[in-house]
Amino acid sequence: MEPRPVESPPAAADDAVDPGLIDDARILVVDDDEFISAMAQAYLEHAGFSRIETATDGQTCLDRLHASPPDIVILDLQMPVVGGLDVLRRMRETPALADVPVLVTTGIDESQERNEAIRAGANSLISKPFDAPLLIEKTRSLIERQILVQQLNLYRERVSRELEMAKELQLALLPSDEMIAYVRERYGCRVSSRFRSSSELAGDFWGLQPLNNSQLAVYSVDISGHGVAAAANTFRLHEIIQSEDMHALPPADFLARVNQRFHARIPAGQFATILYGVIDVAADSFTYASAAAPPPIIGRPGAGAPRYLENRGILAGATSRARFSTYQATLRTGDYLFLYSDALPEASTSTGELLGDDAPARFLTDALSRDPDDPLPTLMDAFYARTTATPQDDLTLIYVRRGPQETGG
Amino acid sequence: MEYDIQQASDRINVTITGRLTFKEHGKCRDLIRDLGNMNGSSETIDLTNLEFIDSAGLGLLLRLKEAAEQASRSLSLRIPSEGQVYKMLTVAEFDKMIPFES
Repeated sequence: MEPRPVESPPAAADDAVDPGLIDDARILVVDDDEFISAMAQAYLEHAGFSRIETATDGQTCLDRLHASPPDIVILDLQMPVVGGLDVLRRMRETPALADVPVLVTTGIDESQERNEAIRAGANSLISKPFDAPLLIEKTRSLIERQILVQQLNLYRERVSRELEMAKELQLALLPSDEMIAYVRERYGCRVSSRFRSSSELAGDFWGLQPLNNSQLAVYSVDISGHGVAAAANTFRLHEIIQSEDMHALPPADFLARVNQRFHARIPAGQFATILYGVIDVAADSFTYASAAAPPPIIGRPGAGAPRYLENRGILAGATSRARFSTYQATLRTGDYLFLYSDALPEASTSTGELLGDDAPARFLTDALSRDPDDPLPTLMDAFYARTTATPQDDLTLIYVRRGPQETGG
Repeated sequence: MEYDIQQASDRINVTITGRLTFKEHGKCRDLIRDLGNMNGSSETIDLTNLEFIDSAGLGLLLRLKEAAEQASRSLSLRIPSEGQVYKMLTVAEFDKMIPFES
């Protein structure tokens, strides 16, 4: 008994392809023996195939293939001028024809020939004279596989286009250049940031929200996990954060509200770390709450070691009734505030160790000593130089330097 | 991550070692399935030798919590006294969700 061809699609795939699509496939039968060619054609037509073409030598076959690739080629090996093996090899070298399935027809017991055909790229083999049901089954199975591959390719193209769009939408969640310029003018806060996503879609975002003449809200969010699920949650959470009334609530209450709504809307088992705080340029303070976010850092360029701030707080999304604490730190003119995602301390060095919790302050201090105006490019260079390849998590850095409030505008 | 389940009379003790991150949700499902086949009124997850946990890893612990609740089992965590895992669990105030054993 003939073994089942390895390329047979799994049984479950039978439902996936419309039988009409299979019957409608274009078949090219290539054989110099017109009797065999006519037999094959008759079998195939009887099985319901209607678009059958024939060629009687390798060169004609190649011309047809180049003019308009069929969905399957049923190919004889022994032909004058250009033999079947040459046709097969040339097809596999030609990108447009490389994936067209080829069912090779051989004489019985031509094991050398069969092996060569397989090496040259045949998808399946069938002995002559044809066993009609076997010819039909193999032809159908190869066409079906080809249709599935095409559908999969189309699907992948569509998904990749949609991912590209989603990525753009995500970038639109971040503060615009206009917002950054506005914040500098209104509050004297120079904000620089780096936002990199390791996967195609991010689970990070951050934002700025002017509250009044002296208060500016800043937040940084990191959704657990990667990819599409995390990305979908960034949109949900961004919408929740934007729709809550930040003006009226202390940071702890704000986070409690955001958490409650987030918990209600996300699928179970998905979480976020959030740092939400308010810079008050009149009170020289940074008042904030943390949902398990990495500790914020406050310091002053050239003035000793920066300080890690308190960051205790329940993970957002874990429980509906989480309560948070509001913390306060001093943030004077000339001081900076540095927020970062956990990808920074949790990146691995080439020896496999974690960078560690002291890394953010250390990297920042180093970078500030070289570039006091905007340390982030230097910091990023050092980060990627000292860690393995790209970090496994999305990396967000936000550096806010308080300067004197500019007048006018 | 690697896990090991031990049972002593009514108590189930699960030891998790290695790294507990987003990548482990398949293995975590296996663990929940294995635990589902066991009987016991209390369950302890021992994280004292866990190397690393991220926020997705915390999420996996919460799934274990849900599974324990469904099986009407009390659940507690045994956590290390220092290091990254300790910091992550305490910063996230995780004892508010699953009690820590002292």
